[in-house]
Amino acid sequence: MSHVLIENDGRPSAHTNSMVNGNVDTISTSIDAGANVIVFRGISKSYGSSVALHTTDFAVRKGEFLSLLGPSGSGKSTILNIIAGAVAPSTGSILLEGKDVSTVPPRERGLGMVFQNYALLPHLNVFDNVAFPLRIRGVGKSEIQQRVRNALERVGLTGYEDRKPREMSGGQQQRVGIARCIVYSPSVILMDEPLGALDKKLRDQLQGEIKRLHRDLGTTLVYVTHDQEEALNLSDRVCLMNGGRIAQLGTPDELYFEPTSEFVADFVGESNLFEAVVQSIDTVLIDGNWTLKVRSTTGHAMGSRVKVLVRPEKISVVESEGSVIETGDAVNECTGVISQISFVGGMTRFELTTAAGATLLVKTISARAAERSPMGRPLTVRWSARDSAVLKK
Amino acid sequence: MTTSIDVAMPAAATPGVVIDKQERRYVRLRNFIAFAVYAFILVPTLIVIPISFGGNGELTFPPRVWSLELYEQLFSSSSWVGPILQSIKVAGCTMVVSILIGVPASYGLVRFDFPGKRLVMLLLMSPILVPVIVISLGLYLYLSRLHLVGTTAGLVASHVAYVTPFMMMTVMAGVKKLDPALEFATTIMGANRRTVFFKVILPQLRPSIFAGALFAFLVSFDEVVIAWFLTSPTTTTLPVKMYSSIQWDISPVIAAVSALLTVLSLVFCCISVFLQPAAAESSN
Repeated sequence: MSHVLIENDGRPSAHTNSMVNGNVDTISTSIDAGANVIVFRGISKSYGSSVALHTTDFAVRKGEFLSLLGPSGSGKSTILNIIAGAVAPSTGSILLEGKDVSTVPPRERGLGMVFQNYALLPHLNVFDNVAFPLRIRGVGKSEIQQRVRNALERVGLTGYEDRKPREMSGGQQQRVGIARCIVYSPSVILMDEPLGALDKKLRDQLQGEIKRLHRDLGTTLVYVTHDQEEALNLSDRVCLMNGGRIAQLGTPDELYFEPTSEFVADFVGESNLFEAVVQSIDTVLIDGNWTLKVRSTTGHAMGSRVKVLVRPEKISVVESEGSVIETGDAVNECTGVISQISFVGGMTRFELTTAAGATLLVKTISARAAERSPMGRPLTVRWSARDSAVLKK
Repeated sequence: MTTSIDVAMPAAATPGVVIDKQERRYVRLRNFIAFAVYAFILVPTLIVIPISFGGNGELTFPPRVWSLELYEQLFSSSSWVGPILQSIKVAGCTMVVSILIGVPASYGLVRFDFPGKRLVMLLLMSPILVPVIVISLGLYLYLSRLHLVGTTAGLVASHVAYVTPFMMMTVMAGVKKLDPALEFATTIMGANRRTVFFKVILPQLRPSIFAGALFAFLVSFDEVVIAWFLTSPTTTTLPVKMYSSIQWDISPVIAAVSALLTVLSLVFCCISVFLQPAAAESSN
């Protein structure tokens, strides 16, 4: 791979581009540059001895909504900044629409970007802010009029042309930021925590608008966030980062239901994680005495130590002994005492302490306090073997 | 009395806060001291204004006769009008040149890192630290080699060197308040360095450049030591003329000049004070 060459070489990427270009044919077998708008080849970034991004290869497909998700300092912003050209990678090369842009300055990359703090020009009104990128490109007056009007209409700001940014709310300012970005139809739009400074309700509303905009425009969108719900809701694919590496890259569905590591399972959604030992092709042993039926242990050797993930909302409460509905699936059953109840709106979280001393998190659709099981009451719960995923420890 | 509290210590006079007797006594004392200091600073400056409306041939307070005679003398005598025009010319040129040098320099010094940046900063700030009389002597010796002593160009160059650090302090403070994300945002939209500087940075810096320019003009207009060394009888500036007239003929016209200068400074100060909220607002 290219990055090996570069690392051995040890010189900055600018000098090695020719070598990398010479190897394009052999590399493109691993990452197809055709359908991908952005390709990272052996990109890494370090500041002195601290590594912000370990050697990374990944690609963003044409027209997809890709989220970079992760805790702060996980490298998600570094990836975005490398795409934007604000940060030069220490090794490797980056391709935009098949062209190596590692040494191309940001203004020639043809990208659009939306910022967390809006980054609107305070001395210009809304119209002039949105017209700014068009004026740089020397677009004619009447076309500017029309395109700015279209862009403002798309973000629902018709009639706000003469306002100054400081006379608008945060949500409106970010809409201007988005309009300024879509007005010149960049092939890739980068969004750096665009809703980070807004309150919950507005965030939800703007999420819907960004999603609709992406569907309408079909632009490739790379979106940085630390909010997992935002990432799951918006994205075609999510790239979960941890400690400067990609922890998992996949669809929201894959990340949630088939996490490849404990970190992913823990970061995305709530989870019950058990330490276990592989017993057979579809069972594991917990604490040496509790046999749990799981989806499959394929890929894990007999007797190896693994983690088992059960999502709390996949666990159902057994109302009465007689009401078991057999679906034909293998089922795990367990009894515990309710040690904690948190009512958070639509869902209610129960913590069960089992006889063995383990804690089990169960999420159910909320019922009135009078109708739900009280604290200290023993509760029997069950979940399907399909909902017990085995992870590498 | 309430206004005095507001002026001297706005924080202490928060409405609705109960102040006990002892504290009230303390507040009164504090206000008295504050006002004594203000008076001490301001009275010598303001006293020339009534004096300047006195009759011809005397410098007294309070004036025995009220008239505009001193002003008539001032504006009819070419020995005063010449230096006034010369001062305006020198201060104007100094202001323009120091903006042209100081604004790009301020931006570069705040935004970019380069080897020797601290040394450059130190050198730039040295005119503030070195005694003016030392600078003047140095400039005199240096400019006499270049045959520029006694010329307007020599004086402007010297004033630029002296004034630019002061104006840069104002502009650099303004640059520090700018959000670098704005510059990157416009760069990624396709703007080149020039567009970013003229369309993004300069408009936002306008209030601090304006304040810095006013300051540069005032300092140059007011400057007497350097000008004393570098002017010839044909390029005498107003402060030099005032100084020599006090030494040689103690003309009462000087009261009128002082009053005019005081009013001018006051106007400039008011303008820059009114500019402050605008500067704060545009940075948000």
